[in-house]
Amino acid sequence: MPNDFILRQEELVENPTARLPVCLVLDVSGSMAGEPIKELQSGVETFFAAVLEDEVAQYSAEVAIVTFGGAVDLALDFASIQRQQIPSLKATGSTPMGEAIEQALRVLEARKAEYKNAGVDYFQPWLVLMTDGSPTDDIAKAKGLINDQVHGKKLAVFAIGIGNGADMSTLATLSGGRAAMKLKGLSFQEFFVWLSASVSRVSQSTPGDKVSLDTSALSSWASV
Amino acid sequence: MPGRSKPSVRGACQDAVGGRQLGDTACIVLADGAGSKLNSGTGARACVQLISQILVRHFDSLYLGRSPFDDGTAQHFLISSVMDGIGRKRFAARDGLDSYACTLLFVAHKNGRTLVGHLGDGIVFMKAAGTISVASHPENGEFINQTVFVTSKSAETSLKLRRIETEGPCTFLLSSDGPSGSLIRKNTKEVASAVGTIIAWAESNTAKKMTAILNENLRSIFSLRTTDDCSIGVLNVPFQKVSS
Repeated sequence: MPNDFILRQEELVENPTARLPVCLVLDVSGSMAGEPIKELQSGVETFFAAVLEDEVAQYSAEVAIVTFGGAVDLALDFASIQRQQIPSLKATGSTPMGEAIEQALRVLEARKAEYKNAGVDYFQPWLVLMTDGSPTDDIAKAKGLINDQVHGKKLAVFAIGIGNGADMSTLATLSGGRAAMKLKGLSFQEFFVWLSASVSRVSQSTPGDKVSLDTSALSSWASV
Repeated sequence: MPGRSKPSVRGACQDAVGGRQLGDTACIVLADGAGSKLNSGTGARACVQLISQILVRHFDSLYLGRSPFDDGTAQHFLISSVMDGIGRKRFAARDGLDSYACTLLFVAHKNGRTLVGHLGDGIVFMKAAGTISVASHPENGEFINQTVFVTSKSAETSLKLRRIETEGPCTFLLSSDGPSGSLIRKNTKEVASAVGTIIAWAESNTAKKMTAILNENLRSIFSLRTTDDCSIGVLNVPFQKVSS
């Protein structure tokens, strides 16, 4: 084919990669002190490293971290993952889970608004909640907000209980219908490897795809 | 052109595009099979075949928004015809109609009247009176991987039909979602100059030559810029003649 009939790159336009916003909502209350918080920190670092190594996910996935331990803190706001510094997690205080979820939902909504303003396509956002206990604040509003969003297909929630103290029945009411899962021991590494692989699957999906997560790999980190 | 994201076992492209001419009426139809659906490539091919036959045989009724058999709207007739046709292609009772999901774009022209149909993603460009514009934008859900298919419950109400009257030559370019990311800037709606280039080629080359040109550009240019399946169709209406 003569070059006369081959388009030049300058004749084409670029569009930004579709984004997958993921908000990790992490329990850093006093009961997470010691091995749990160390393993959680290591797991989060593994997650970021795995996403950065993925050819597609590194440009698609965006991660924010909201921690709750005494107070609620937006420990890491959304930004290009290549420029983010992973915060150091410290265990202290009570478990204001409801407030943390509300903060996470606000952060996700704000990010979606930025995408819309910039004309950037995006996937359904994810909220990943990890806790080893029970909420010490009122979660009614958070529960209502999550249910509204999940039933409206605006949000995917993954609720993970850590250790024997995790209140799985409360977690089940915060996962929007998806079963809350219990982490096997302190297998944070395995969970975050699975999470990064799931992010990669979604990032590579094409419009019209319905992405199924790898349920066969759940047993690597979830107690059945 | 199959996308780079497709597993090797499903290496075949799930897009389909085809044209048909009958007398003064010509059409081009493009269907983009849903990536995750097992039979969506078959659905897309069936859609292209059925819709192209319907368009050239029943253009006048459809242009007026009516079923040719006076039993409902044009949208109802088009979608139900596709569903009936897909139903006949199901070999195993286990395969739900949903597994044949695909989007649908078409352009049909007769004597200065053009009917543009659009369901789901993809885009339709047109050149008329020397000006290039978008004849139909995609309408998807909030999320990038949400769109409407011919098998969706809302297909009839979501199928957009646009009627355009033109004097003189006109050309239409249909693109599936894969290449469309290189042909229009999403935030500003700026149309890439490549659209004008492709249209100019269509205006000055035979249909056979144009097929070769499009194939080569899909292979060597567009498929390297997206992991999605890629297809493009062009309908050129020179003054008082049609070719697709």
